[in-house]
Amino acid sequence: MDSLSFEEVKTKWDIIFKDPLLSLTSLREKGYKGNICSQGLRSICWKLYLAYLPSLDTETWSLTLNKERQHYADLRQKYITSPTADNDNDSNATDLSVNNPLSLDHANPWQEYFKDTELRKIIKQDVERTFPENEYFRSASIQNQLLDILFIYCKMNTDVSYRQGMHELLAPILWVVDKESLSNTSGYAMEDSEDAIIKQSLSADYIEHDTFALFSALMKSAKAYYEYNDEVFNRRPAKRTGQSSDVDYARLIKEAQAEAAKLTPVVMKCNKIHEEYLRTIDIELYNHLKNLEIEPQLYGIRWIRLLFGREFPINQVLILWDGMFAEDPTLRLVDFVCLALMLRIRDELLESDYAGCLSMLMRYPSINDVEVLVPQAIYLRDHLSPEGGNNIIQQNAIRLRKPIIPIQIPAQKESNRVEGLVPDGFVHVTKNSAVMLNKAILSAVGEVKKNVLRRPDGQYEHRKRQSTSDFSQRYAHSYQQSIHDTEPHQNSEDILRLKEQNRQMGIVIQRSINILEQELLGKPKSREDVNAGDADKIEKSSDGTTSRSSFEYIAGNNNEESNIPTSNEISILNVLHGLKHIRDVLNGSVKEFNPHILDLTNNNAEDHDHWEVVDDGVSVVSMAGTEDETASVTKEVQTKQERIAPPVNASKAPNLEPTFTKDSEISQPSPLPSSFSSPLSDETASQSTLLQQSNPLADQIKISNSISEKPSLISTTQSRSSPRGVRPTSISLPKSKFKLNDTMNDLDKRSVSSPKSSIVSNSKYSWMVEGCTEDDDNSLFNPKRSSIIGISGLSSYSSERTNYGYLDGPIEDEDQFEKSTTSNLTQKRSKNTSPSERNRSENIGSISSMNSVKKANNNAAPAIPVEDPLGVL
Amino acid sequence: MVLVLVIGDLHVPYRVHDLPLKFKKLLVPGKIQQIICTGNVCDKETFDYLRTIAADVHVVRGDYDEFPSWPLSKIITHGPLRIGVLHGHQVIPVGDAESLSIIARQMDADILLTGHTHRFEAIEYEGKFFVNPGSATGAYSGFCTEDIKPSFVLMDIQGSVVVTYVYRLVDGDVKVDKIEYRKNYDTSKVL
Repeated sequence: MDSLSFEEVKTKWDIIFKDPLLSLTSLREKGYKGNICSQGLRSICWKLYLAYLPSLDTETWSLTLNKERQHYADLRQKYITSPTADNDNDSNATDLSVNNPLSLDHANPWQEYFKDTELRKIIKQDVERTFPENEYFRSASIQNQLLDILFIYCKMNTDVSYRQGMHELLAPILWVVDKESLSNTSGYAMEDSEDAIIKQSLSADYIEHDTFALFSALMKSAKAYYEYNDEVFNRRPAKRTGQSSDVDYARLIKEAQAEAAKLTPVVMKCNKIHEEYLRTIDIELYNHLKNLEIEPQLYGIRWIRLLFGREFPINQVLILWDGMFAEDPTLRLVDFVCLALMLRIRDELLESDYAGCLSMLMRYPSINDVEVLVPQAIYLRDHLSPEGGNNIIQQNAIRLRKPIIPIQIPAQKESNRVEGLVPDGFVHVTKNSAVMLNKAILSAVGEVKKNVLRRPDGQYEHRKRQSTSDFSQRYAHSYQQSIHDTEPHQNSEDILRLKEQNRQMGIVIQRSINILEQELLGKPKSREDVNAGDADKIEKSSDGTTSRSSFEYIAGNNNEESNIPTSNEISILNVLHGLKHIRDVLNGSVKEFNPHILDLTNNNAEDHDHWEVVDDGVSVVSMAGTEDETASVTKEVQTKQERIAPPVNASKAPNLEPTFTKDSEISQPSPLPSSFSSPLSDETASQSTLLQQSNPLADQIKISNSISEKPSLISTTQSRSSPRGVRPTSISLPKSKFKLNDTMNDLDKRSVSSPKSSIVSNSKYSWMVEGCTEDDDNSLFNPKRSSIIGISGLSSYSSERTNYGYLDGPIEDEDQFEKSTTSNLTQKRSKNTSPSERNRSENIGSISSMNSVKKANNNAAPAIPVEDPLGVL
Repeated sequence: MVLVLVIGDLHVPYRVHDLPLKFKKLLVPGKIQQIICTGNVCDKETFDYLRTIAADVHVVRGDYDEFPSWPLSKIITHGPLRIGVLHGHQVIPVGDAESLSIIARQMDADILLTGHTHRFEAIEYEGKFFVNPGSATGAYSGFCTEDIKPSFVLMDIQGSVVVTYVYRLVDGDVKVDKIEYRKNYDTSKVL
């Protein structure tokens, strides 16, 4: 082992101690959040964590160190001695009839010696096998050190004595202390005080002493893992000749063993983890293991006793220990690290049978980001609930997709995550993991693409999608099902269907994006109101449920958001942009999936690129999302636009007419016109926009929105429209809709089953679940709903309407493409215009996309994003 | 630290039926790492008994042993120490220090263990250590006119230091004596 030079050590020392905000708490925090132990001096950190060194005041260290080291030296002298050497003062010692190797006298020091020899032999067996792959532990002197330390510990703790596994706890400590030791410590008294302290605290002469002290400190907590509760268990190895007959003794042991096994603390702990914690956070996994009759102690004992030392290579173990020691020197975190580990391989476990599960638990698959386990464990400790478990599962899902990419910004990520652990049980994919999210999307899309371009084989990976939100996962599920349905059909039809499904999926994603944007970029305060309003307007909320989880996710994000700098927002935008690209691909408006778009880096250049892409974006749908972003990020522009908007509206109005007529031709006759007459807004055009937005949301007819908005535009004076009237009840659905509907049916049922409770828990999103009928009027009155943007969006929508006719039904690619390109051109044009203009034209995109969504889904959700910025205003 | 039991001249079953009970009580498994036997164990059962005390048994052939395959002499090393083992019936005159010294030189042994005289002896002669554990059973011997007391020797070898414990059964009691021998490196160099 190459030891460090003094200069290197000094540098590492400074990493720890040059921090102006240094405190024991901050050091502990860095222990599990950062990599202070890897960068700095791990042995020093551990000494502090485990309270071997009582404080950060290095002045006091010298005293403590001397005391502890002297203590060990005394112990060593006391326990490791020859029976012949030391006891001249003892009266027995001089009496050879007592003090001889074969004497049976109890006072015979040789008796003790023989016992010790036995013990050492047992320890040595294990010590020799310590980390067999590590050359360091093969050296005889190191093994002797391990042996002596363990032996002395056992002599001091005769109640536990030595148990297999202790050596595996000791070995890493010795390794760490030895690696960071300074061999030449002579004359440190002469040098300046800091150097002297460094040299003294890392002296190579006291490796064994320090290691023992650390080990003792660790074992204060870990000792319980090695204890046997039953006294008989302890007595058994030390069978005395005076005891009752062997037969009785054996029987006694047998009876006691069964009892003792259950009462052994470590087994009780395993059971507690399994029966209590795992059951709470992940009932599915719990049931699975229960059904397979996999006893938790099978793997748990090893995990706990060795503090996961056998599950990972030593360098990862050290990182894991850093976190555990730092967080809690009493090791209470171990239980939750166990949980985190189980959740990590949850999917594999659920798929495996008895043998598979067992081998996976006994031989834990290698993972390359052990540093996240401790924060996860802390999170689980603080959130011991199904939601907490779910969050961790989702985090893992995101992470697993890219095992190669560790954490690029570890410090930031870690800290953010901890902040982001929102206590209210929202599904939580934190903002800091925006990078992750994007990567997740990237790979997920890759998956989608594969499945779409080739013939799907049914092995669609649910989890891939679930990582971003439950919603997507569910959709993926339905997607898979529908794929199954289509398989027997002819090829061309298949392709057609696939395209159709893709499009639906794109729509769904669009919806999610809208929600995301609203939540991420909108202002939290107004959001409540807006959402409440939405709730009223949304019909039956069938779709709301499906996207609810993604909502929660965002909500979780939102809580964080208030404190987050703009750089984070940028990353969010990047993520959103990635999503949009996916949506475009699915919609067919972009032919090729471009992974680079998802390849996210947090710099500005990328951000710029992001806007570029948006502007050039092929699909109009993508514009919608962009607009929202723009709207929320640059609020000033919006306000400005508000002023400008009315004229825009007016100018756009003419365009509406042709669009409408065209649509009406296509569409079936519907009761909508009647509704138009009734809904008349009171004062401003902005409210008409509101109506326009809300109505389409509610409508089940694909075209209803276009119709409904016409009157609103035409009659700029409009007041509280009764959404009921606007909303036709019986509508012929587009063919494509059925599948989506089917897939969402079960979701609806779910939501219906317990809407109230969810509302109670989260009133913001109640509209997603609730039928939304009662408060319609109020919502319409809500001033926040009215906005200029809505108007301009509306008008622009009408102008762009022609381009979206194709969305009404399954149509061939080329056609779509041409049209989308046209719309794109419009967008490009807008790029060069003033900001307000640009926003306006982007509004066009958003609205139209919204319409398209609605047509496919007959659900209201997508309109939200437009409204939110309005609410902000 | 190694505990080596030196024992010999048992003559079971021809002269004595068994080891004294008090010795048997002392010789329990688990304490002694090695047994060096100076011969004349005689029957296989006794030899097997020895092996129950310690698995590592080194034995040389005495003039009454039934095992022609056993070697007549042996050299065992413990760290820096070379221990020569010989029954002793080859040495003339029997038990003579000069003669033993010659043999020790021939074997290049620091410690020479012999038997045959049935009389305990432990002497340092010309820098070498000569030990005769006597007869563990107190068996009759034609060379020894005085009363023969059962005895054996336990050597505690630590490096170049040998602490010898002598166990003798005197009037039904076990008496223990301790003799210390330290190998002198200078002497061996001269030789």
